[in-house]
Amino acid sequence: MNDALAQGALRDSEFNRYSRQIMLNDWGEAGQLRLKNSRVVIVGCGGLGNVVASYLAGCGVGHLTLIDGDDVELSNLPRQLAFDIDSCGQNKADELMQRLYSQNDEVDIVIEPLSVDIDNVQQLLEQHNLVIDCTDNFSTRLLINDWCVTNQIPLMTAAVIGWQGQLLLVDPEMENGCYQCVFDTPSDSQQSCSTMGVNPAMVGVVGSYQANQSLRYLLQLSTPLSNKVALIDGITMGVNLFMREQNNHCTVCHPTLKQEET
Amino acid sequence: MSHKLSSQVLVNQVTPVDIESGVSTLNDIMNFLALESSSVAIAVNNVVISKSTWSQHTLSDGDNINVFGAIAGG
Repeated sequence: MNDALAQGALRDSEFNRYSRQIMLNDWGEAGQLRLKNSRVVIVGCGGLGNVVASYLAGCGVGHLTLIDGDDVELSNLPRQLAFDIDSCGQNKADELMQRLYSQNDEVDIVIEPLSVDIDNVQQLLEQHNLVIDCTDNFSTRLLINDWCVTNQIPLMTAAVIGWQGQLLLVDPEMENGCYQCVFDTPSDSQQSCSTMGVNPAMVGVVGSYQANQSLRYLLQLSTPLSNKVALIDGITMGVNLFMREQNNHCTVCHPTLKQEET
Repeated sequence: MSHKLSSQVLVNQVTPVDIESGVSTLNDIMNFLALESSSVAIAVNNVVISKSTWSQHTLSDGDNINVFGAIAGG
């Protein structure tokens, strides 16, 4: 993160709009300028993406790229609150952008109505200060993690299923490993909302945590997710934080191992 | 006079496991609980232990073990 992000000045309308957050001691005008000059990409515009994008746009993050190749379905509506019945059949990124512009037309939003894959990941994710993973499958999560580690771009990743949530930040300035250091061989046959179900309210809980910690990172404030993985239990209201360490056998953090594997 | 017959660890805050009955490493715990090891992480006393060291990680009396699986929903 670069202090150059705190350069420039806020307009009177921005001071007015963001007054309740600027008054926070550790936010201030400098923090608001950092948000204004930040470029964030949100991969996945479903449940988590709805929540995270709404808070980041509302808070004045200057540029958002929204990526999702899926269309809105009726079964999305209980937990994807930016959409309504008229959204069904429309692209999620496009629908979300329209909702965000009605909330805050002072932010710049670009949409990419497609799925991230090995051929487009570089083009889609480069030129951003933070990548936020709100996807719904392991293969994309692993691809994004690999790209972010290779390119030294911070990655805020979260997932939700049933009554449970998980979050962690892959921080290039820390040496606590990556997503794959924690989960080395996840399979797409496991643990997705479509196969396991999800409590819609838990999507709001986990998405709010993800937005909150993303804002703290952009504001250059501490976040426990830099070196820990958080497990959120919607049944007990418990949050467990477990310290992460780099896995010496991780093929993402140790590219030479990847070369040996291939 | 009472004395402890065996050492125990606590798994996911609910399951006491006797570590003197052949359960001495994290690999043993996974076998004991009949858990699939792919996409699963283990934290011992609030520190995630890399899977590559599970077979060497020896448990101690009173260890607090959390086993949790990766989830993908968004």
